[in-house]
Amino acid sequence: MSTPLPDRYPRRRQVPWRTLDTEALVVDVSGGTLYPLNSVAARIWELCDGARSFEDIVHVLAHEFDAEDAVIRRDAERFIDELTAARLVEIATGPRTEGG
Amino acid sequence: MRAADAPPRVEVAGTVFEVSGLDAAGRAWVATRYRGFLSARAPDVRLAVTRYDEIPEDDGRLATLETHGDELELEIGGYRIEGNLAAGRLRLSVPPFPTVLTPAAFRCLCALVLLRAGGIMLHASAVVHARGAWVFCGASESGKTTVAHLAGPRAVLSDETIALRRHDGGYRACATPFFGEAGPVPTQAGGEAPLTALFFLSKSTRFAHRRLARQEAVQRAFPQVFLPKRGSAMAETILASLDAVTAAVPCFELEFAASDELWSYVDAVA
Repeated sequence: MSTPLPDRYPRRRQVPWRTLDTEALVVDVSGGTLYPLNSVAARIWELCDGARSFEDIVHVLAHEFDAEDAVIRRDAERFIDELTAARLVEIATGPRTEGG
Repeated sequence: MRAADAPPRVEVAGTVFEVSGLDAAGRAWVATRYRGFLSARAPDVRLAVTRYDEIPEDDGRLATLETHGDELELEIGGYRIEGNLAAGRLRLSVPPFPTVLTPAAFRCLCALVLLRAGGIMLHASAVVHARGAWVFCGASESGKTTVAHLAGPRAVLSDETIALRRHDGGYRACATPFFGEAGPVPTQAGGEAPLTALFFLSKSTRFAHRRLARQEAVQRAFPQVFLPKRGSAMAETILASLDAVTAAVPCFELEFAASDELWSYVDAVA
């Protein structure tokens, strides 16, 4: 029995966003809503490139931000759940493809 | 051709729009509505007007805007503008109303042309001071018209709609013919000054301000941009333009009381 491949989180291609200094703004064009992201959230958003798994994302954050791993893992999970609920990122399983 | 017979030209933020295909009443309407913004310069954009006979249904839509490269399709309130922006040739279909170039449709077109040039059109008022122009941005009832009324001898560029156009690595705040409750202000197409600061207004009984980080400034400015934002390419371009503006000038949250002290307060801030 093979081990299931970890979920990846590609940003939806049609979602406009912009990094401003270390923070970011993401636009939900369906409602014209702007989501302001703090520096940690902005980094998670950047890392949702469709190539990285959740564990990959947590690993990068743990190296870049001064916080306990458990806190980083919990916050990242919550935030990615919010992004998927808002349909700003997708959940992808299976082998990685060109461009995520 | 007598001047009264010539297609009127309207200049907004450095772009000259020529409106052809109008009868005498239409030309007179444009000349009156856009008085102060008529231009003798060569046109950058030619709008060929065609009237149609049906009265449009009010389907509650604010505006639809589709852009595919240089091609434009804009529909607002029964007015339809389509054509190629790069070529500067557009068709304007107008319903059987007395108004020919409705400000809502024309403002949207001006905003799009400005955006393509790296500028932005904002729901804002602006007042000229010794070093340039302060722009006061905000939703309805935030105090834009109040600020314009308080201006006294200072020149007001608009109490409702301000064009920010790129110039020499910075921005100039430009008057527009799109006014609010204050009505037409005594400005003209050449009414502009270097942008020195952008304020996001709220009425209060006191004066207070806070410098905004760029992210917060862009977040506040985004809803005040006069363009439909439902397309991702459009939203991306608006974000890029606001990013550049907020990097170029300081942005503040401003609470203000309706008194002449506003000017000494603002002058001390920016």
